Amino acid sequence: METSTTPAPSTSETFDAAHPDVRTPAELLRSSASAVWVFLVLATVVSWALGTDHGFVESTRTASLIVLVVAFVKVRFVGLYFMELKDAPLPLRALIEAYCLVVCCLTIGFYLAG
Amino acid sequence: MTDIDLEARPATTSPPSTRRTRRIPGEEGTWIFIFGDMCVFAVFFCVFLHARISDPVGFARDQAELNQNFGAINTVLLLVSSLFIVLTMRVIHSSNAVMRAKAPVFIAAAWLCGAGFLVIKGFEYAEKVHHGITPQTSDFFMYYFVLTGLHAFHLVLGLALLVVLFVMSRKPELSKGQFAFFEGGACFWHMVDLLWLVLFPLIFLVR
Repeated sequence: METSTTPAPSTSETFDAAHPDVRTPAELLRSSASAVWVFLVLATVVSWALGTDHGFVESTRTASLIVLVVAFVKVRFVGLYFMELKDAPLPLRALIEAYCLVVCCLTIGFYLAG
Repeated sequence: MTDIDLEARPATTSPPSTRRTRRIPGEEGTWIFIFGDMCVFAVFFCVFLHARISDPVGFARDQAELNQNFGAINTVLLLVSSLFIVLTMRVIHSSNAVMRAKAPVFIAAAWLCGAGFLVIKGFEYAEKVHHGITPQTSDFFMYYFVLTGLHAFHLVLGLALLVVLFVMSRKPELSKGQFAFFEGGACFWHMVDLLWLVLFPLIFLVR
């Protein structure tokens, strides 16, 4: 059973590499994860528009394919930047990359077969 | 017990200043569970689209009954809640007591967004039932209720987990084991978000 405590996480060398010491509100928002979040919201709006006849793509099939690809790009970004797998050991990082690629291809394949 | 010291340095000859420390967020076991769950849902995605092949017209007709706006609002709610958890993970390490004290506030905000998702999902289900639509109505609605229901179940588990993280975040210090659990819990919450990022387009938008 783990008993040791981490008195002040920011002083631990292990924490510092992945989690810098955030001391001000400006530092709090200044991260790649914040930029990724803005992209995720914008991508959601675009997908919603494409899927509800507010879109700019006439072909329903093309719009649906774009929506599917965008969905898995979003999944990849959540995995890499929110779950912090960007800096995970390579096998774990490869797992999220492979998941996005394989499941995206499978869903597109099943969609096109329909 | 696995702890946050678990890390593997990349085999690289780059100078130390540019070398990135690779580490597993949370515990190894957490990732077996998370990826296992994601694979189960991947099978569901394929099963849903496979069922669509035999009745594309029926699926399109039923999908037109859905309220895409509810789905889109719920997506944004989960994205906001995920952002709050990202911010929590950033301030939990802060040496500034004021910033560190924001951790439970951010977790509470994430919890409220998750609860908001459930409220909207409740409205959505009520609207369907009011129009006489149930899982027995058609194959499409069977998949709709089962997939969104399973996701909602994960969300309820996530909300319970956030309560635990909220209590933990109020402690002045966390042991390494506690911190690994904390990080794993955050990743589980992101997984709930991640699954919805596929379910929403798949069920509501793909025509």
